[in-house]
Amino acid sequence: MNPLFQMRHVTKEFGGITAVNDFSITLERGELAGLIGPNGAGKTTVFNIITGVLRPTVGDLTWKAESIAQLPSHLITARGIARTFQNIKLFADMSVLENVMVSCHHSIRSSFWAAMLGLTKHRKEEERIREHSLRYLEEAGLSELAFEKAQNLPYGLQRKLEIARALATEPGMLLLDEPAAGMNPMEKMELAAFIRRIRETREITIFLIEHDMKFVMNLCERIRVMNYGKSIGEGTPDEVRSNPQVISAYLGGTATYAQG
Amino acid sequence: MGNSFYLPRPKAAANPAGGPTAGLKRWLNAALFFLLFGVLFLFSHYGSGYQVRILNNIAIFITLAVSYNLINGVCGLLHLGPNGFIAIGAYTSALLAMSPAEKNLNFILSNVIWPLNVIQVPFAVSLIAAGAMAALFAFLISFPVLRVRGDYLAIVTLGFGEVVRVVCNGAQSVTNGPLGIKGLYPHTNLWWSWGVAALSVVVIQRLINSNYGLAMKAIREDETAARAMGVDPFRRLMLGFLISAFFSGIAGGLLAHLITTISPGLFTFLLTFNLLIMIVVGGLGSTTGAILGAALFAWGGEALRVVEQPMQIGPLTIPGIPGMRMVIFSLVLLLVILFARKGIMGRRELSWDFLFSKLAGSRRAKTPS
Repeated sequence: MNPLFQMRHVTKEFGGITAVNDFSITLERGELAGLIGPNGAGKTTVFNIITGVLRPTVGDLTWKAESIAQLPSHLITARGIARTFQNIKLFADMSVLENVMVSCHHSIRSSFWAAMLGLTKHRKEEERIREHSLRYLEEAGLSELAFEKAQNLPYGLQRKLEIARALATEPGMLLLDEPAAGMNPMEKMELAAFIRRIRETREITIFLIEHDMKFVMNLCERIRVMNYGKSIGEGTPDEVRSNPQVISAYLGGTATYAQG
Repeated sequence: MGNSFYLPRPKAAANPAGGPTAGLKRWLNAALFFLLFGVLFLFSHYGSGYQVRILNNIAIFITLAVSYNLINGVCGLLHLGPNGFIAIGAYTSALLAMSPAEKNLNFILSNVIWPLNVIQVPFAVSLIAAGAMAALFAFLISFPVLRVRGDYLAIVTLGFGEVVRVVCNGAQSVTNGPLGIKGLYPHTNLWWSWGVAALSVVVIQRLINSNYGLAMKAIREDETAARAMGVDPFRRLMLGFLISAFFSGIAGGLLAHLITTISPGLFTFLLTFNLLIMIVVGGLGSTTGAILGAALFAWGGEALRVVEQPMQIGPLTIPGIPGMRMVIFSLVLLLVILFARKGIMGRRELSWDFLFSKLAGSRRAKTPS
C-alpha cells in the first residue's frame, strides 16, 4: 500500500540560497512525527512547500498516491492537509467561533445564491456549520469564549484556537509549526496532552516543528533533524539524541560533517 | 493554558441566547419595513419636490455606499473605481430606456449605433441590464485587478474608473461624448430608489452574515491563513466584486433617471471620493454604518445650504459665502476621524441584538442585583 504522504527529493531555492536541499520524507497514517533543527534550517519552508504556500524548485509531493506539488494552498487543505502557523495567524477581528466556521467554507453545500436569497436550505447549512464548529471549540475547551474576539485571547489560547481551527477542516494530516513556542511548562504539558488526545481520537497523522527538545522527545515517536536545508538524521528520540551529526549541529563543531 | 487570571470574561452580550428571539426579530424587521413604507407613502403624497429629491438622493447613496462597503470594508480591498461601474450602469440604463426618437434628437454630431438606435425597453429591464453590464465589466477586470493587493489594487481600479470616463467622453456614437444625454424621462421615484436600496441592503447583508461573508472577512484579516483554511481568495473576492458592481450599476441607472441628464463629467473620481467619505465616516466594514454615512452625507449636504446664505447675527451681517458647506463638511470629517477613528459604527452593526444588549445593559445599571 502507498504511504499516506510522501515528499521525494524536494529542493527549494530562493535566488542563490538553497533553503531546502534534496529533502525526502514519508509519513504513515496515524503517525506522530517531529521535525527539529537549528534556526534557519528550513523547517518552516518544508511546511510551506507541503501546504502549497511555496512551490518546490525540484521534486515531488504525493498525498494518498496523488501528486500535490502544483496544487494551490486551498485545494491542498480541501484534500486533507491542515496547518498552524509559527507566528499566530488568527482572523484577529473575528470571533473565536467565526474563526473556526471559516474552516468549514471549503465543504459548504449551499451556493451564494441561496445565501443571498436567505433560503431555508442555506439556513440549515449555516446551522450545521455552526454546530460542527462549536464541537471543535468544546474539544479545545474554548466554548466559553466562542463570542470573544480572537485578538482578545491570551497567547496560549490563541495557539489552541489555531489548532482547533485547523482541525475543523477535518484533515488527514495536521502540521503544527512550533505549537509550544512562548508557553510556560504547565501550558506545554497541557498542550502535549491535547495533541496526544487529537491523535488518539482521530487517528490522524501529526507532523510538528518544535524547538523545545523535552517537548518533542516526550511526544514524538519519530524525529527528523534538519540543518542548512538538508536532512541530517532520523529516528526515535533516543537514536536522535545519540546521533553525532545532530549533536554537532546543535552544539557546534565541524568534526562529524565529513562523515555525512 | 488554564490560568483563569488571563481569561477575558465570557461575553454574554454577544451571545444570541440572551438577545431577542428570531421570531421577535422577524416582527421587528417587518415593523421597520412598514414604517419605511408609511414614511415613503406620506412623502410621495404630501412631500415637496425638494424633500422627495433629497430622499431619492439618500436612497441612491445608501445603495452605492452599502455595495461599496462590501468591497472596501468587508473584503478589505481599497477599490477606487466604483465611479466606473456607476457610469456604466447610468449609460446602459439611459440608452436602453430612452425612445429611439429622443436618442436621435440627442445625438447631433454622430448617429447612435445599432442596435441602440432602434431599441427601447421598460425602465425595470434597463435597470437590470445596467446592473448586469456593470457586473460583466467587473468580471472582465477582476482577472487583472485581483492579481494585486493593497496600493497596487487601488491604482489599478483608479485607472479603471478614469478609463471608463475617458471612453464615455470619446465614444461619440455610443455615449454622445461630452455632450452627454439629456431629457431622460424621470422614472426614478421614491418607490424605485428605496425599493432598490432596501433590496441591496437585505441581499448584501445576508451575504455578509453567511459563511461566504465570513470567508471574505477572513481574507481581509489574513489571506495566507484564509487559504490554509481552504478558502479560495480569488473566487470569494470576485463574488464580492461582482455583487458590488451589480448594485452600483443599478444605482447608476436610478441616478441617471433622477437627474435626467448625464455626461462623463458626472462620474469623475470625486464621486468615488464622496462614497469613500461616507463609508469611512460610517465605519469601514459596517453596513449600518454605510447607511448612516450615506444618509448623513446626502441630507447634510442639503441641510448645510443655510450657511451659504447671507446671515444676520445681532448687529453683524454676514454675506453668503459659497463653498462654506464644504468647509463645515471637512471639519465634521476631521472631528469624526479624530474622535472616532473607526468611524461612527466601527465594524459593529446597529442590529436588534446590539440594541437589545444596550437596553439590557442600561437596565442592569439602574437596578443593581
